[in-house]
Amino acid sequence: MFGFSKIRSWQSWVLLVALAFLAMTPLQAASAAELPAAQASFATNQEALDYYMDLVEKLDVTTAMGKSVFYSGLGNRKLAEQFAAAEDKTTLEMTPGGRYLDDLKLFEKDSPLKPEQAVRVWSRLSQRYAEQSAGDVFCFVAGARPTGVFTTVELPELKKNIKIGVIYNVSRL
Amino acid sequence: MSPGYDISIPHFYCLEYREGGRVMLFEIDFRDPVIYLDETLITAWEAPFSTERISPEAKKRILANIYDYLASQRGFKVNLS
Repeated sequence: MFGFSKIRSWQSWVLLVALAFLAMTPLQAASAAELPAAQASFATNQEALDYYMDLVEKLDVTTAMGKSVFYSGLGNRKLAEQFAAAEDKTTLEMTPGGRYLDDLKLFEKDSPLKPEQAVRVWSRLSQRYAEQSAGDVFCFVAGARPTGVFTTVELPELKKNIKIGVIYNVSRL
Repeated sequence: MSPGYDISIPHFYCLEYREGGRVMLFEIDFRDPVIYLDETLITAWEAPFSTERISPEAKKRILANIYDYLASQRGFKVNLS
């Protein structure tokens, strides 16, 4: 009797997890589908900034525990991406939200944003990426500038994030 | 009149410079409020010109072109050294 209850309990948990997964999947798909396929047109730069600052709050930059990788400084993007690919980890632009924003090419000539406005949008997405990170994080930041986004936005956010374990400063692979 | 070069920013961490059929990729973090340009950013042309030597004069010209594009034409805050 006890054994049967235990099995039933175990099966119930599996069922609950499966149901939760199935329930969440359509929601995630729906939220991705709600994102615009291309840049909308705007009457002013300010209108565009308001739009993208709102959009950036909705983009999915989540990573699993211990999966986040950061980089800044010359030569570090390649190292970080190689490390992420080899260790099944994630850089900002490998998240759905990072990829989406990157594809919008907000720093290009035909962007509806001024450069400093695009910096604000990307800075906020970078901050959100650090905010949601959990567990150990891996930072390829040798030569990062003190005024750069890693030093001024991402690192402070990681330091105040209570979900963070160790912040590894990786200088080479 | 064409300036003889073309620049695009395909990624928040990359500037693509094209000149005379050659392509050079620069690692620049456009999320930073100020962009720092110096000769250490210049490494090599992309293949098939990757072994081609880049003279000091060419490096200066390329940096000046990028500075002009980013600072004068686009309004980025740029520090050239």
